[in-house]
Amino acid sequence: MTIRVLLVDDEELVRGGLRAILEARHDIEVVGEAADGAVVVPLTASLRPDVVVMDIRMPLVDGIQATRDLRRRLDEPPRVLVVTTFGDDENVYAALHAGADGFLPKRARPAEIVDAVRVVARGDSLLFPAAIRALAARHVAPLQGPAASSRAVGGREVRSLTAREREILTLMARGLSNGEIAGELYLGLQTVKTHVSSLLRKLGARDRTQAVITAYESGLVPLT
Amino acid sequence: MRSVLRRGTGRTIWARVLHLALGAWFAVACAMVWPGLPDASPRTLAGLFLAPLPALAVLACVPVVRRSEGVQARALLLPGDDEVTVEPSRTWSDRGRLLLWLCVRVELGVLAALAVAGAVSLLAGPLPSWVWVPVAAAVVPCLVLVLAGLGALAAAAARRLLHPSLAERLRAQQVRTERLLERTRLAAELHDSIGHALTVTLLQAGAAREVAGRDPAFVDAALAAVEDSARQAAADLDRVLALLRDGAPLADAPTLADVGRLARAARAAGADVDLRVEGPVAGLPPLVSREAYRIAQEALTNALRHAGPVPVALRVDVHADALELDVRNPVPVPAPASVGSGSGLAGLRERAAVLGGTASAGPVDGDWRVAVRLPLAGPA
Repeated sequence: MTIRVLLVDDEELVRGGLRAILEARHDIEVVGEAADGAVVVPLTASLRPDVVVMDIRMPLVDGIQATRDLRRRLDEPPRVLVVTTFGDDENVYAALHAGADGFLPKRARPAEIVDAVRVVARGDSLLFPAAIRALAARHVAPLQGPAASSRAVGGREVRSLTAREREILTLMARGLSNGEIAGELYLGLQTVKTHVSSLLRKLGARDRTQAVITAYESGLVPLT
Repeated sequence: MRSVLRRGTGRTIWARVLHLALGAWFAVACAMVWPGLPDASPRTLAGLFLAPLPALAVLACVPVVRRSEGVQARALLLPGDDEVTVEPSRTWSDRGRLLLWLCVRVELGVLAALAVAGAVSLLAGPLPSWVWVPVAAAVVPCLVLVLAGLGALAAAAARRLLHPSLAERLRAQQVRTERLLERTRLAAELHDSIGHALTVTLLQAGAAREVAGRDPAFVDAALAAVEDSARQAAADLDRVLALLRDGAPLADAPTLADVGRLARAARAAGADVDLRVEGPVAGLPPLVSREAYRIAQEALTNALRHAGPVPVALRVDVHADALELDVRNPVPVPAPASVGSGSGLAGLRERAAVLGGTASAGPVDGDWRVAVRLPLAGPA
């Protein structure tokens, strides 16, 4: 099955480069391009891509707002992979909060770009777990210490998790896929899937990335 | 008293006593002049101590004296404290407070001199030798305490009388904000120019390697793009370095004169923008022009977000008394359910209202129309 991709970037040469890199693989098809976040929702509704590869800084509507629009206005939003340039930590974290499934630096090698699209399309493991942890650490650290208990993002939801679900969440944060978690914990794949969807529901998270961010922010999974 | 000692370490105390020495010299001068006066009564002594007032008043009127006093107070009274100004006087209120401070400084110095003189005369006086040691043991610490107290008083007075005025604090805040904004703009400039060019270079080179041997035409085009981007980046680097060297201000927020750029961005996003501008856009008041640019940007953005890539007509009319913006686009069929989310329109109305203008949006003849009118004479 081919992965249908929509490319959103205000720079034509960036879109062209990404298109050539992705279309050189047989399992990926670029079904459309857009030059601004403003048109992402109508285009997604008509082209039905599996993955939207989205720039963050665009002239009219930025990638963070466009990601939020997709989540809010479409019943079955596609997965979103945001691509970033330099010094964009704040924006990357905001995009992940808005519902992006992963992020990719534009300076990534072609093979990494292809891998990122595949991982995000499958949605069963976390993209760049170490980088997400580092990002979360930078954003959560100033709030930990005395203020941590008063903040407690998702604290109540996190406490409602079973011991097994916490264990699985910790492994998800390390970037393990469902199959790898099943192997690690000697569980059946179906059992792991059930636990994962249950913990996503309890955390109010749509996907693994959001669940893991909540886990870091609530202190359930230690950042160090 | 102990808190005074604890707050001022030994070094601070002696620095403060040094500061008091100016007034003390004046007291010494008085003490030398007074016995020679024809009428050497306590009244003339008191008059002598008031004698420097006119001189101090003249001194207080010289703007730079405030800076000099500030520098001395910072160095000797309140080391490491930037609550004391080092700016010259600008207003009469600055000068008034400075005069008060100069008087306080001289008179505290006189008191310090009296304390020292008193202690010395007591110890040098005709005391039986068996009392001298205990008296000295009591008097010397007392003298240190008194001097420390006077120093603390001088410091407190400096903090009250030499603090920056409200205007000075505002100005300092403004300078800090401008510097911060400048750095943010410079970072954005670097990101948009050189960062952008590097990104294109990387992606095109990577793509060329991917398709090498299979698509020579793409490889050719990619190499040309890499070369162009690198050349552009070199030019941008020159420009940013020049900005850093000269400290020239970077471009401000876009105004309505840049509406063409806005139309280009919307066209690149797929909208078929028909832009018409009537009247002297360049002569608009900057505030109105900047806000109008943002309003036009918001209207175009909303058209794209709700209707997708459709034809959009953007009209800008500059009249003598008002600026009119009119944005029209066909409503998609079926109309999207979320058109009435309203937050975009509320934002438009708010922006217009701040400038005393009006904004409306709604369906007209099968089109969605946003109309904004901003008065040019300022809010009524």
